[in-house]
Amino acid sequence: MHERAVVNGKLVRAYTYMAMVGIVIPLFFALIMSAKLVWPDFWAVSWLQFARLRVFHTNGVIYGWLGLSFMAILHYIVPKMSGRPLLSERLSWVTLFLWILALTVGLGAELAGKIQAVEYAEFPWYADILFALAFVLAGINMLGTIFRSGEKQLYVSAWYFILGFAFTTLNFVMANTISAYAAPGAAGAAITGLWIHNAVGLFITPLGVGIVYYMLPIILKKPIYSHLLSLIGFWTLAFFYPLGGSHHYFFSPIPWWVQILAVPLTAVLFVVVVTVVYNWVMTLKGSWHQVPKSVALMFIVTGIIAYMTTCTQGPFQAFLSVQKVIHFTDWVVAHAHLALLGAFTYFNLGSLIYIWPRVTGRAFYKPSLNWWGYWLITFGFYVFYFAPLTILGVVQGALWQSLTPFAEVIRVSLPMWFMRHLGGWFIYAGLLMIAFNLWKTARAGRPLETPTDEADLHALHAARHA
Amino acid sequence: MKRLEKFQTLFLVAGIGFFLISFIGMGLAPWTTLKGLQPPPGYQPYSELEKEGRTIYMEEGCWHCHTQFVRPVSNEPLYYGPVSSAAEYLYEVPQLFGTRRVGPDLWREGGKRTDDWHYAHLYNPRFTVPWSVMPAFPWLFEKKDGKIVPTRRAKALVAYLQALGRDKRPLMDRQDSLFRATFRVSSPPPRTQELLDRGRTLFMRECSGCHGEKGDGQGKARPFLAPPPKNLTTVHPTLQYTFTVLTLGRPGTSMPNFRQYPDRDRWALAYYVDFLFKNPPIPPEAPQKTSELLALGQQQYDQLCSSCHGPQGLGDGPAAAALKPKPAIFPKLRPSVMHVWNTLKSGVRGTGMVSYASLPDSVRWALAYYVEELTKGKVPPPAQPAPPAPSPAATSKPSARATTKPASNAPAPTPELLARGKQLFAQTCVPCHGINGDGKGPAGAALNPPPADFTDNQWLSGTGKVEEIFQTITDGRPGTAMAPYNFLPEKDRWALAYIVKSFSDPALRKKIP
Repeated sequence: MHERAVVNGKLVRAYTYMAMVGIVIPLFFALIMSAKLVWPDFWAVSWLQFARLRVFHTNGVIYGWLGLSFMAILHYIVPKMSGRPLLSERLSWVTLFLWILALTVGLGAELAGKIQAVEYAEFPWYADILFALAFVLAGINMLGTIFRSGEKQLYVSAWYFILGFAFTTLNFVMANTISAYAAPGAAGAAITGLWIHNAVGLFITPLGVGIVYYMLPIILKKPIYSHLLSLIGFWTLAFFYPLGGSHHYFFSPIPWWVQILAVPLTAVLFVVVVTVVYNWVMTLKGSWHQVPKSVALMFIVTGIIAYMTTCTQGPFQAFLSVQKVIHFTDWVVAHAHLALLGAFTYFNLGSLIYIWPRVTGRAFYKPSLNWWGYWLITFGFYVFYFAPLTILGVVQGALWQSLTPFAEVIRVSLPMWFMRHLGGWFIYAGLLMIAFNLWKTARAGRPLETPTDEADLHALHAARHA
Repeated sequence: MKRLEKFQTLFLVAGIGFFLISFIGMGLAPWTTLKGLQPPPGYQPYSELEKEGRTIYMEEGCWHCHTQFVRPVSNEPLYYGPVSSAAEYLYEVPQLFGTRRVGPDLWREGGKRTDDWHYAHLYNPRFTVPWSVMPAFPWLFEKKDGKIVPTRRAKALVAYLQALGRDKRPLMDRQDSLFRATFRVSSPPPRTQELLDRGRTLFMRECSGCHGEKGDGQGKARPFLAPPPKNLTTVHPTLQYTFTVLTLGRPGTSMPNFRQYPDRDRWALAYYVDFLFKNPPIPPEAPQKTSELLALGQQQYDQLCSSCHGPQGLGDGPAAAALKPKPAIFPKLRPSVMHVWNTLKSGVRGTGMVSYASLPDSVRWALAYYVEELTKGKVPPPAQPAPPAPSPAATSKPSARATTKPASNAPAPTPELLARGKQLFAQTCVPCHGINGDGKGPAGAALNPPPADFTDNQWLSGTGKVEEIFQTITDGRPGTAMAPYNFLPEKDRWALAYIVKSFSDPALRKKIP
């Protein structure tokens, strides 16, 4: 079976390009936004107001970049994993069109000051409908392909994809109906907490983790370490992850029993991440020497470290004594970026870099640009973004607790916010290099003579039967 | 193949099933335990305007940087106010708890600051809070006759902000009055350069938006604020007084308290404010300060000023209790002669201090000099409590005192007279009685007894004859903020009387040009 028979390279490329647009624009606005924290009257026009930029950035990155890049990668993985072409390639094009339409309408409305007051679901209702439609169509296409698979066994990635699509469809509808229009006050907060938590936990996490479960064995050309650990990791995620949502509103008027329950239900997530990451690391065992040679692996492995870190932070943050200090501070901002940038953006960039020569049939225009991209993003993020904001979060929390005037807290924050802005430029530069490289490769890369996926496919089969 | 399909379906069922478990267990269950909550007393549903404001708050994403719940931990009740309870959020759909505090929590914000302050702050936060990183919202304002005025959207947003925490407002007010009642000024630390430098830093950070970088009251927020920020270069408040105002704020003005700063910082600011004072020179054309002039000043002061400012300038006149802001306490505020003279001329927008521009210059100089004496504490307290007005001293004076003279020679209401009256009314009476004569002027709201409503044809003395109104204008109304206006020329008083009358006399109203 040849991969060209099942993967539609055109679709993967189209989704990838749109995903790159979906990160290049929101990150440009993020740069302006981070500048505005330091120079609040910089470029002071209504449609670039800080909060409008913030929702453009978060929604753009979640639905535009992560959403579309997941789809790009799934358009490669799912047919190959299922051993058959997509359910309908025409449907894929329609989905892509709808998805972009939803983004354009939703993000445009946000800049025009029509923000729906549910965090991460700020699209107004008409864009919600468009997006839900696009997401359901994508789900039908992907799950339909998996369900009609000719393969004998369902690979672990497929479990995650099915879970993610089914759960997130319902979750998205819940957020945009019940949270936005029906549930009052504390009850609304409990439900919004579920939405926020599960948008990360059961949309981004299962798709991202499923992708890594596929990419690691393929790139390393060896099977996953343990089927049992995969099972434990999956089912604990599916069961426990959706229950801890109210930890986003600790010490709020939400009934106290819900908040108390959220502490152990969040702590148990440590088990999830340890099983999953242990499984990956043991798969990597004996192959670590390969990592520095492949930029795709570098991205994915760095992402795994970030994933481990951010998911360890999570249960730790859910301890009430820690919450007292770090809640509402920049610590949480750093934590969220460690997850969405440090882990999942890295997974997706690594995967796209691995896939790209295989769907264009060309070698990278300049492999060094990928390396530059990797180091710029990593340096910019960890040195100028993650470390300063994490420290700043603790400082802010401690200062507030000691009843320091608000002005002092802002004054202490400003140098760190300036560093964040600088970090943004590094990240942006790195990203532009990779985006440029992808585009240029498809147009002017050296054509490859032999398809390189043959061996990978064998590796996957080996993985399945392990 | 069949078996396989079942296997895949398992994951699909898991996705839907686990969603339902979480939604029912952690979403619906808390909702049902909250059913039956009753809103706390004083917690009214939002008005239409407030609802509109809430929509703007949502659409502009204010909730991304401002949370709306006070946690019972991390000293938050000390910082923001009473801890939030679930019953207070029954009308909140969707809830706006928020997850990040780039700016302070707002759930107890209502009533902490004036509407004026909020307008200035929304137009550009740096106007009132120079250190702020909040975005400006100029698109909620429009230009009218060269002035920036709030649109309906800005008014709605501010109405909403003022409604936040409305049920806990009485409690917070009680806590605040307890704090004020028990507050005692400590003694200032010695003046050092370091303290003065700290004071300058803090002044630039917290005060310069309203009071201006030079402290001359010409800060960027000035056009929005009524009363306007004090010019600190022409008054020389005592350290203790500045410290007190910094600690307690100044109710009735947009001056907030800065209690969050430690004592030492507030003393540093007090020293810096002391440093800012530049005694403005008295122009050469001003009359010399003679004992005759002071006597005239005293006599005029007793008539015009003491009902609010008190006989010794301690701000304890009979009408003072009703005023917000309270009348200036001269020995504490220590205004310079020029400050008093200018204030007499211009009045203070948004307060009970009306313009006395129609007084002759010499009388204003006399008053200014006399207030200087009061400021220095040079005026001994009266031997016995002053008898209720009219005071015997006043009747013996030579000026056009009309207390005893029955008024019957009313001039005809010519258009010229009415035009003059209209102009005078706007200058002198509007702050309390309102532009429509309905007693709803900006300074009148706080008065007790409230300013008279001229539109209802109900008269406190007499039956609404022009002569009776003239008499009240001339004599004032003892025990209220209505001062005697006998310093105005008789003709002007008649003009005013006609205007007052016109609010309940449509025929007369039509004659006003």
